[in-house]
Amino acid sequence: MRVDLLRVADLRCHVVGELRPVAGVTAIVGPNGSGKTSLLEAVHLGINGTGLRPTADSRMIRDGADELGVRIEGEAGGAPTMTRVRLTKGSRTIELDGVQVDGRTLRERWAAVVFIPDVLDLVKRGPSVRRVAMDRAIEGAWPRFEEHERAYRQTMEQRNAVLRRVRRREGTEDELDPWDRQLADHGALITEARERLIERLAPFFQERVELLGSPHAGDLRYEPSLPGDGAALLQALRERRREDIERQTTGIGPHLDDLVVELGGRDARRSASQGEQRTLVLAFLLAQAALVHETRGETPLLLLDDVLSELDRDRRTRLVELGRQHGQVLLTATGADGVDDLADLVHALEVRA
Amino acid sequence: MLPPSAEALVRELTRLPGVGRRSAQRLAVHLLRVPEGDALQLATAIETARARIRPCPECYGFAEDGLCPICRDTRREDNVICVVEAPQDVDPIERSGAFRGRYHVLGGALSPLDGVDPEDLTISQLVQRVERGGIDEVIVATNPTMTGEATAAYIAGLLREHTRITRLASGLPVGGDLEFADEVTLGRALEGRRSIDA
Repeated sequence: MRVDLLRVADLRCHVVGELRPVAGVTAIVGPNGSGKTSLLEAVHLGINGTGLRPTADSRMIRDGADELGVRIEGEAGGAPTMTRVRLTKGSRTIELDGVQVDGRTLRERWAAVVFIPDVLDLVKRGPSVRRVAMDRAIEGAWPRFEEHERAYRQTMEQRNAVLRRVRRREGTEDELDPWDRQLADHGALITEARERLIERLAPFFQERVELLGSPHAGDLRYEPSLPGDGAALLQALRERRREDIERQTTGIGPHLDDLVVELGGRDARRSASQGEQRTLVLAFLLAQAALVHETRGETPLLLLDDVLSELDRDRRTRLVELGRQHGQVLLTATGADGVDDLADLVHALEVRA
Repeated sequence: MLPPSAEALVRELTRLPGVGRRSAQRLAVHLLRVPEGDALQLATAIETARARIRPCPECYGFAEDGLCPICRDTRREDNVICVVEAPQDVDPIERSGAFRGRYHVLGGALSPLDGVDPEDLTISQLVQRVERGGIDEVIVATNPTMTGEATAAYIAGLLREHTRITRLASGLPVGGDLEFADEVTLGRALEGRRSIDA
């Protein structure tokens, strides 16, 4: 897939803006505060329906404007495609080739893999960020997965509400039965999807850690809260019922899974340096892009915000080279990061403040 | 900008399900333009319905003057009860013509998160109906949603000892295309498959 044209109106600092990326690597270059990242956000909004960060998307609307608009022209699913997304304080309208659609339909057509500096501590932070990373990767490769995720989350909230009720002695334990069963069903689907993900992602990851110039081998290992199928989870939920009532929260299931990132055979959480962490995160994202290509037959867009600044010249070149082989890449850079020395690999577009 | 009393009307209409601000304005303007008698007919209808409609003491569906028409009908089968979430769920089943038994309206589905617990529904009344005897089957026709499924499982747990419990099958829509079915529907349809009789 490929974006040929981006048009934005009233997005952050941009009253109107236009970007024409090339098929390979496009660098959006400009000083801090010139709105480089906003342009990446606009591309993401146009092909995914949401911004880059978990904060409210309506914050992207330019101060003083009521509505922001994004229009993207390009190619996806082997055919010319045009999408428009309009956002007001309370509404989001998505159009795909002139037809109004929901976010999922848009994401079934397009795909993007995103790097923002916030994900740099993926390896070292708590397990929740790695669970989110796994689930985003699953959604990219198998877009329908988001329904199971939502169902699991909602069912668990219902179960936790019953736990609180039983603890207050307003309800009886048997009220947990129906929720346990559904939670086990949805939970087993998530465990299975994450197992399948890591099984297929790990070889790509190993390869990319090496290609990014790491002297140590990298690997991924899924660490489920409870391995096994729905029956095993149901039994476990029943066995720890007393404890869950006491603590008023569900103490087992995929919402407590983790992903272990290894470097040189050791858990990178403890041993990896800043630079090594950066390599591991980038390898994870590039592996994700490779998996999307494998499952969907198309290369997703790589959107990389401020990725070059901390990398030495050799790694910068390796990353850009890998990205270019992979497909279309949009990255942001301040002039000082030295996209100049990558001039033959990168098409630079300047943003003026 | 509407005068205050018209604005109040719009606000009330906005509180109806599925009515946004714009439709509410259109309805309000309509009500203000038609002859006064026509508009007041709506007010009277609301008033009368609210005054006269009561839950049926047997099935908890809508009833006027004691039992609802279905509970009153002596030609219906007494040994089967179809359990639904809301009074309006009775209508589509009736129109199918495939069911001749009795109903039981729960008044919603279990959703502890929203404060809907077993005692907020007519579940204990259903258990009493079954315990009185003569019921050979309870068909649980709650919606195939998370809360509907949980409600079905909870009811089944309570009644399993007393009678046969069945759940409406879920599967492919008649006249639908396999290609457009979602995985969950298709999965359920596969689970509930049956052999083709000669």
